[in-house]
Amino acid sequence: MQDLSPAARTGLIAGLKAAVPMAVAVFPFGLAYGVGVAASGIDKWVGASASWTVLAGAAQLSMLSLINSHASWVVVVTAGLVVNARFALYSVALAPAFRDFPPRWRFGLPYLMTDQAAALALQYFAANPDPVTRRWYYLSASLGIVFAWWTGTLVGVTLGGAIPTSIDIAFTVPLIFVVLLVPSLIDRPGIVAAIVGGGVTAAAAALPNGLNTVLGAGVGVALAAIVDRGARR
Amino acid sequence: MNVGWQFLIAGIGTYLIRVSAIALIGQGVTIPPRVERTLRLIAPAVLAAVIANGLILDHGHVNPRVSWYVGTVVAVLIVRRFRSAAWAISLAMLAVWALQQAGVP
Repeated sequence: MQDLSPAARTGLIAGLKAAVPMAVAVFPFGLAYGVGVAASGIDKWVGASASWTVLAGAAQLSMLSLINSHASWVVVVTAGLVVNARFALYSVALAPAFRDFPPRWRFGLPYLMTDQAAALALQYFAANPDPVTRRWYYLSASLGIVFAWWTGTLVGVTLGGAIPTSIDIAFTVPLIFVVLLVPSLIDRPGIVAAIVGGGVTAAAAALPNGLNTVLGAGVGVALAAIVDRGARR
Repeated sequence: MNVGWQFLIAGIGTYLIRVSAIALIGQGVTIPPRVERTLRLIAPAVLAAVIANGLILDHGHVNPRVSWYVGTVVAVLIVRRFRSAAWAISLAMLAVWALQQAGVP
Protein backbone atom coordinates (compact mmCIF):
# COMPACT_ATOMS: atom_id res chain seq x y z
CA MET A 1 0.00 0.00 0.00
CA GLN A 2 2.86 2.43 0.80
CA ASP A 3 4.42 1.73 -2.62
CA LEU A 4 1.35 3.02 -4.43
CA SER A 5 1.29 6.52 -5.87
CA PRO A 6 -1.37 8.90 -4.48
CA ALA A 7 -3.30 8.60 -7.77
CA ALA A 8 -3.33 4.80 -7.52
CA ARG A 9 -4.36 4.90 -3.88
CA THR A 10 -7.24 7.30 -4.64
CA GLY A 11 -8.59 4.88 -7.26
CA LEU A 12 -8.04 1.81 -5.10
CA ILE A 13 -9.93 3.22 -2.12
CA ALA A 14 -12.77 4.69 -4.21
CA GLY A 15 -13.16 1.36 -6.01
CA LEU A 16 -13.33 -0.63 -2.77
CA LYS A 17 -15.90 1.77 -1.31
CA ALA A 18 -18.07 1.47 -4.42
CA ALA A 19 -17.69 -2.33 -4.45
CA VAL A 20 -18.95 -2.92 -0.89
CA PRO A 21 -22.73 -2.47 -1.47
CA MET A 22 -22.45 -4.36 -4.77
CA ALA A 23 -20.55 -7.20 -3.09
CA VAL A 24 -23.20 -7.38 -0.35
CA ALA A 25 -25.83 -7.82 -3.07
CA VAL A 26 -23.78 -10.16 -5.29
CA PHE A 27 -22.92 -12.56 -2.45
CA PRO A 28 -26.48 -13.99 -2.11
CA PHE A 29 -26.67 -14.28 -5.91
CA GLY A 30 -23.44 -16.35 -5.86
CA LEU A 31 -24.91 -18.30 -2.98
CA ALA A 32 -28.02 -18.98 -5.10
CA TYR A 33 -25.83 -20.26 -7.95
CA GLY A 34 -23.88 -22.51 -5.57
CA VAL A 35 -27.10 -23.89 -4.08
CA GLY A 36 -28.37 -24.46 -7.63
CA VAL A 37 -25.22 -26.45 -8.46
CA ALA A 38 -25.56 -28.50 -5.28
CA ALA A 39 -29.19 -29.22 -6.16
CA SER A 40 -28.32 -30.31 -9.73
CA GLY A 41 -26.85 -33.68 -10.64
CA ILE A 42 -23.40 -32.38 -11.72
CA ASP A 43 -20.20 -32.59 -9.68
CA LYS A 44 -20.34 -29.60 -7.32
CA TRP A 45 -16.71 -28.53 -7.83
CA VAL A 46 -17.09 -28.70 -11.62
CA GLY A 47 -20.21 -26.56 -11.27
CA ALA A 48 -18.39 -24.12 -8.98
CA SER A 49 -15.49 -23.86 -11.48
CA ALA A 50 -17.79 -21.89 -13.81
CA SER A 51 -17.54 -18.97 -11.37
CA TRP A 52 -13.84 -18.77 -12.32
CA THR A 53 -14.03 -19.65 -16.03
CA VAL A 54 -17.29 -17.99 -17.15
CA LEU A 55 -17.51 -15.51 -14.25
CA ALA A 56 -20.97 -14.20 -15.18
CA GLY A 57 -24.04 -14.99 -13.07
CA ALA A 58 -26.85 -14.83 -15.62
CA ALA A 59 -24.88 -16.95 -18.13
CA GLN A 60 -23.90 -19.53 -15.50
CA LEU A 61 -27.50 -19.90 -14.31
CA SER A 62 -28.75 -20.22 -17.91
CA MET A 63 -26.08 -22.85 -18.70
CA LEU A 64 -26.81 -24.76 -15.49
CA SER A 65 -30.53 -24.92 -16.25
CA LEU A 66 -29.79 -26.19 -19.79
CA ILE A 67 -27.34 -28.81 -18.46
CA ASN A 68 -30.05 -29.89 -16.01
CA SER A 69 -32.46 -30.37 -18.93
CA HIS A 70 -29.81 -32.43 -20.82
CA ALA A 71 -29.28 -29.92 -23.65
CA SER A 72 -26.42 -30.62 -26.09
CA TRP A 73 -23.08 -28.95 -25.32
CA VAL A 74 -23.42 -26.74 -28.41
CA VAL A 75 -26.71 -25.32 -27.05
CA VAL A 76 -25.26 -24.88 -23.55
CA VAL A 77 -22.13 -23.04 -24.74
CA THR A 78 -24.03 -20.94 -27.28
CA ALA A 79 -26.60 -19.89 -24.67
CA GLY A 80 -23.81 -18.80 -22.31
CA LEU A 81 -22.14 -16.75 -25.04
CA VAL A 82 -25.40 -15.13 -26.22
CA VAL A 83 -26.29 -14.11 -22.65
CA ASN A 84 -22.80 -12.62 -22.38
CA ALA A 85 -22.94 -10.81 -25.73
CA ARG A 86 -23.81 -7.62 -23.82
CA PHE A 87 -20.20 -7.53 -22.54
CA ALA A 88 -19.20 -6.48 -26.08
CA LEU A 89 -21.20 -3.28 -25.49
CA TYR A 90 -19.36 -2.62 -22.20
CA SER A 91 -16.09 -3.36 -23.99
CA VAL A 92 -16.88 -0.65 -26.54
CA ALA A 93 -17.95 1.78 -23.81
CA LEU A 94 -14.83 1.16 -21.68
CA ALA A 95 -12.36 1.01 -24.58
CA PRO A 96 -11.54 4.75 -24.73
CA ALA A 97 -10.46 4.68 -21.05
CA PHE A 98 -8.62 1.33 -21.31
CA ARG A 99 -6.61 2.64 -24.32
CA ASP A 100 -4.44 4.56 -21.84
CA PHE A 101 -3.67 1.48 -19.67
CA PRO A 102 -0.46 -0.60 -19.99
CA PRO A 103 -1.03 -3.86 -22.02
CA ARG A 104 -0.95 -6.13 -18.97
CA TRP A 105 -3.81 -4.13 -17.39
CA ARG A 106 -5.64 -3.72 -20.69
CA PHE A 107 -5.80 -7.47 -21.28
CA GLY A 108 -6.04 -8.59 -17.64
CA LEU A 109 -8.82 -6.32 -16.33
CA PRO A 110 -11.48 -7.41 -18.88
CA TYR A 111 -11.45 -10.90 -17.29
CA LEU A 112 -13.04 -9.23 -14.21
CA MET A 113 -15.72 -7.40 -16.23
CA THR A 114 -19.23 -7.61 -14.77
CA ASP A 115 -22.38 -5.52 -15.28
CA GLN A 116 -21.81 -3.96 -11.88
CA ALA A 117 -18.11 -3.16 -12.42
CA ALA A 118 -18.75 -1.72 -15.88
CA ALA A 119 -21.60 0.49 -14.63
CA LEU A 120 -19.55 1.74 -11.65
CA ALA A 121 -16.46 2.35 -13.79
CA LEU A 122 -18.33 4.28 -16.49
CA GLN A 123 -19.80 6.57 -13.80
CA TYR A 124 -16.42 7.04 -12.10
CA PHE A 125 -14.42 7.51 -15.33
CA ALA A 126 -16.74 10.35 -16.39
CA ALA A 127 -15.51 12.44 -13.44
CA ASN A 128 -11.94 11.11 -13.08
CA PRO A 129 -9.69 11.43 -16.15
CA ASP A 130 -6.39 10.16 -14.64
CA PRO A 131 -5.51 6.74 -16.18
CA VAL A 132 -3.65 5.50 -13.07
CA THR A 133 -6.58 6.35 -10.77
CA ARG A 134 -8.95 4.77 -13.28
CA ARG A 135 -7.16 1.45 -13.60
CA TRP A 136 -6.77 1.02 -9.83
CA TYR A 137 -10.43 1.94 -9.38
CA TYR A 138 -11.45 -0.67 -11.93
CA LEU A 139 -9.20 -3.32 -10.36
CA SER A 140 -10.43 -2.85 -6.79
CA ALA A 141 -14.12 -2.36 -7.67
CA SER A 142 -14.29 -5.37 -9.99
CA LEU A 143 -12.17 -7.59 -7.73
CA GLY A 144 -14.36 -6.70 -4.73
CA ILE A 145 -17.51 -7.69 -6.65
CA VAL A 146 -15.96 -10.86 -8.11
CA PHE A 147 -14.60 -11.90 -4.71
CA ALA A 148 -18.18 -11.84 -3.34
CA TRP A 149 -19.27 -13.96 -6.32
CA TRP A 150 -16.53 -16.53 -5.68
CA THR A 151 -17.19 -16.66 -1.93
CA GLY A 152 -20.95 -16.92 -2.46
CA THR A 153 -20.47 -19.81 -4.91
CA LEU A 154 -18.21 -21.74 -2.53
CA VAL A 155 -20.50 -21.24 0.47
CA GLY A 156 -23.51 -22.20 -1.68
CA VAL A 157 -22.08 -25.49 -2.99
CA THR A 158 -20.83 -26.36 0.51
CA LEU A 159 -24.01 -25.55 2.45
CA GLY A 160 -26.39 -26.72 -0.26
CA GLY A 161 -30.00 -26.56 0.85
CA ALA A 162 -29.39 -25.10 4.34
CA ILE A 163 -30.66 -21.61 3.35
CA PRO A 164 -34.23 -20.93 4.56
CA THR A 165 -36.63 -20.97 1.61
CA SER A 166 -38.52 -18.00 3.12
CA ILE A 167 -35.73 -15.73 1.79
CA ASP A 168 -36.40 -15.07 -1.91
CA ILE A 169 -32.77 -15.09 -3.13
CA ALA A 170 -33.84 -14.88 -6.79
CA PHE A 171 -35.02 -11.27 -6.28
CA THR A 172 -31.45 -10.09 -5.59
CA VAL A 173 -30.62 -10.46 -9.31
CA PRO A 174 -32.98 -7.83 -10.78
CA LEU A 175 -32.60 -5.75 -7.59
CA ILE A 176 -28.86 -5.29 -8.13
CA PHE A 177 -29.48 -4.03 -11.65
CA VAL A 178 -32.22 -1.60 -10.52
CA VAL A 179 -29.87 -0.05 -7.95
CA LEU A 180 -27.20 0.36 -10.65
CA LEU A 181 -29.59 1.81 -13.23
CA VAL A 182 -31.26 4.60 -11.23
CA PRO A 183 -28.18 6.87 -10.76
CA SER A 184 -27.45 6.77 -14.52
CA LEU A 185 -30.85 8.28 -15.40
CA ILE A 186 -29.72 11.91 -15.32
CA ASP A 187 -30.68 13.26 -18.76
CA ARG A 188 -33.26 12.67 -21.46
CA PRO A 189 -31.15 10.40 -23.73
CA GLY A 190 -30.27 8.16 -20.76
CA ILE A 191 -33.93 7.88 -19.74
CA VAL A 192 -34.96 7.10 -23.34
CA ALA A 193 -32.23 4.42 -23.53
CA ALA A 194 -33.59 2.76 -20.38
CA ILE A 195 -37.30 2.94 -21.23
CA VAL A 196 -36.83 1.70 -24.81
CA GLY A 197 -34.24 -0.92 -23.76
CA GLY A 198 -36.54 -2.36 -21.09
CA GLY A 199 -39.73 -1.99 -23.16
CA VAL A 200 -38.39 -3.71 -26.29
CA THR A 201 -36.87 -6.51 -24.18
CA ALA A 202 -40.25 -7.18 -22.52
CA ALA A 203 -42.13 -6.94 -25.83
CA ALA A 204 -39.70 -9.38 -27.50
CA ALA A 205 -40.12 -11.96 -24.73
CA ALA A 206 -40.78 -14.70 -27.30
CA LEU A 207 -37.18 -14.61 -28.59
CA PRO A 208 -35.11 -17.51 -27.17
CA ASN A 209 -31.81 -17.59 -25.22
CA GLY A 210 -31.79 -14.00 -24.02
CA LEU A 211 -31.76 -12.59 -27.57
CA ASN A 212 -34.57 -10.22 -26.49
CA THR A 213 -32.08 -8.57 -24.10
CA VAL A 214 -29.56 -7.98 -26.90
CA LEU A 215 -32.29 -6.64 -29.22
CA GLY A 216 -33.77 -4.39 -26.50
CA ALA A 217 -30.41 -2.90 -25.54
CA GLY A 218 -29.48 -2.33 -29.20
CA VAL A 219 -32.74 -0.54 -30.07
CA GLY A 220 -32.54 1.45 -26.81
CA VAL A 221 -29.06 2.78 -27.60
CA ALA A 222 -30.01 3.57 -31.23
CA LEU A 223 -33.15 5.57 -30.36
CA ALA A 224 -31.46 7.38 -27.47
CA ALA A 225 -28.61 8.38 -29.78
CA ILE A 226 -31.15 9.92 -32.20
CA VAL A 227 -32.77 11.85 -29.29
CA ASP A 228 -29.31 12.98 -28.15
CA ARG A 229 -28.42 14.23 -31.62
CA GLY A 230 -31.76 16.06 -31.95
CA ALA A 231 -31.29 17.79 -28.59
CA ARG A 232 -27.83 19.07 -29.54
CA ARG A 233 -28.86 20.46 -32.93
CA MET B 1 -18.95 -33.35 -23.63
CA ASN B 2 -17.78 -33.10 -20.01
CA VAL B 3 -19.57 -30.24 -18.18
CA GLY B 4 -16.28 -28.70 -17.02
CA TRP B 5 -15.13 -28.37 -20.65
CA GLN B 6 -18.43 -26.70 -21.56
CA PHE B 7 -17.82 -24.07 -18.87
CA LEU B 8 -14.20 -23.64 -19.99
CA ILE B 9 -15.12 -23.10 -23.65
CA ALA B 10 -17.89 -20.65 -22.67
CA GLY B 11 -15.38 -18.94 -20.36
CA ILE B 12 -12.76 -18.48 -23.11
CA GLY B 13 -15.48 -17.19 -25.46
CA THR B 14 -16.75 -14.81 -22.78
CA TYR B 15 -13.23 -13.42 -22.19
CA LEU B 16 -12.87 -12.79 -25.92
CA ILE B 17 -16.20 -10.89 -25.90
CA ARG B 18 -15.09 -8.86 -22.86
CA VAL B 19 -11.74 -7.91 -24.38
CA SER B 20 -13.02 -7.44 -27.98
CA ALA B 21 -13.35 -3.68 -28.45
CA ILE B 22 -10.72 -2.94 -25.79
CA ALA B 23 -8.14 -4.93 -27.77
CA LEU B 24 -9.10 -3.41 -31.13
CA ILE B 25 -8.99 0.18 -29.91
CA GLY B 26 -5.63 -0.43 -28.25
CA GLN B 27 -4.28 -1.37 -31.71
CA GLY B 28 -4.63 2.21 -32.95
CA VAL B 29 -8.29 2.11 -33.96
CA THR B 30 -9.85 5.34 -32.62
CA ILE B 31 -13.40 6.43 -31.82
CA PRO B 32 -14.92 9.68 -33.12
CA PRO B 33 -16.30 12.01 -30.36
CA ARG B 34 -19.89 11.60 -31.57
CA VAL B 35 -19.65 7.82 -31.12
CA GLU B 36 -18.10 8.32 -27.67
CA ARG B 37 -21.21 10.30 -26.65
CA THR B 38 -23.38 7.43 -27.80
CA LEU B 39 -21.34 4.93 -25.79
CA ARG B 40 -22.47 6.36 -22.47
CA LEU B 41 -26.03 5.37 -23.42
CA ILE B 42 -25.04 1.69 -23.43
CA ALA B 43 -25.14 1.21 -19.64
CA PRO B 44 -28.75 2.43 -19.08
CA ALA B 45 -30.03 0.50 -22.12
CA VAL B 46 -28.35 -2.79 -21.17
CA LEU B 47 -29.22 -2.52 -17.45
CA ALA B 48 -32.89 -1.80 -18.26
CA ALA B 49 -32.97 -4.74 -20.69
CA VAL B 50 -31.55 -7.12 -18.06
CA ILE B 51 -34.05 -5.77 -15.49
CA ALA B 52 -36.96 -6.29 -17.91
CA ASN B 53 -35.84 -9.89 -18.42
CA GLY B 54 -35.41 -10.69 -14.73
CA LEU B 55 -38.18 -8.60 -13.16
CA ILE B 56 -41.04 -8.11 -15.61
CA LEU B 57 -40.63 -11.46 -17.38
CA ASP B 58 -40.65 -14.94 -15.94
CA HIS B 59 -39.93 -17.67 -18.53
CA GLY B 60 -41.35 -15.50 -21.31
CA HIS B 61 -44.53 -14.48 -19.46
CA VAL B 62 -45.39 -11.49 -17.24
CA ASN B 63 -43.95 -12.05 -13.76
CA PRO B 64 -46.85 -12.51 -11.27
CA ARG B 65 -44.75 -11.74 -8.16
CA VAL B 66 -46.31 -8.50 -6.81
CA SER B 67 -43.84 -8.41 -3.89
CA TRP B 68 -40.96 -8.00 -6.36
CA TYR B 69 -42.57 -4.91 -7.91
CA VAL B 70 -43.12 -3.36 -4.47
CA GLY B 71 -39.52 -4.19 -3.53
CA THR B 72 -38.32 -2.50 -6.73
CA VAL B 73 -40.26 0.70 -5.92
CA VAL B 74 -38.75 0.69 -2.39
CA ALA B 75 -35.24 0.34 -3.87
CA VAL B 76 -35.76 3.13 -6.45
CA LEU B 77 -37.09 5.57 -3.81
CA ILE B 78 -34.19 4.90 -1.42
CA VAL B 79 -31.50 5.16 -4.10
CA ARG B 80 -32.95 8.43 -5.41
CA ARG B 81 -33.44 9.99 -1.97
CA PHE B 82 -30.39 8.73 -0.06
CA ARG B 83 -28.02 7.52 -2.83
CA SER B 84 -27.22 4.40 -0.80
CA ALA B 85 -27.10 1.09 -2.66
CA ALA B 86 -26.58 -0.91 0.54
CA TRP B 87 -29.71 0.53 2.23
CA ALA B 88 -31.76 0.19 -0.93
CA ILE B 89 -30.87 -3.49 -1.35
CA SER B 90 -31.33 -4.39 2.35
CA LEU B 91 -34.68 -2.63 2.77
CA ALA B 92 -36.04 -3.87 -0.57
CA MET B 93 -35.16 -7.47 0.41
CA LEU B 94 -36.80 -6.90 3.80
CA ALA B 95 -39.96 -5.51 2.12
CA VAL B 96 -40.18 -8.55 -0.19
CA TRP B 97 -39.66 -10.93 2.73
CA ALA B 98 -42.37 -9.17 4.83
CA LEU B 99 -44.88 -9.13 1.95
CA GLN B 100 -44.31 -12.80 1.18
CA GLN B 101 -44.68 -13.67 4.87
CA ALA B 102 -48.03 -11.82 4.74
CA GLY B 103 -49.13 -13.98 1.82
CA VAL B 104 -48.51 -11.56 -1.08
CA PRO B 105 -47.17 -13.52 -4.09
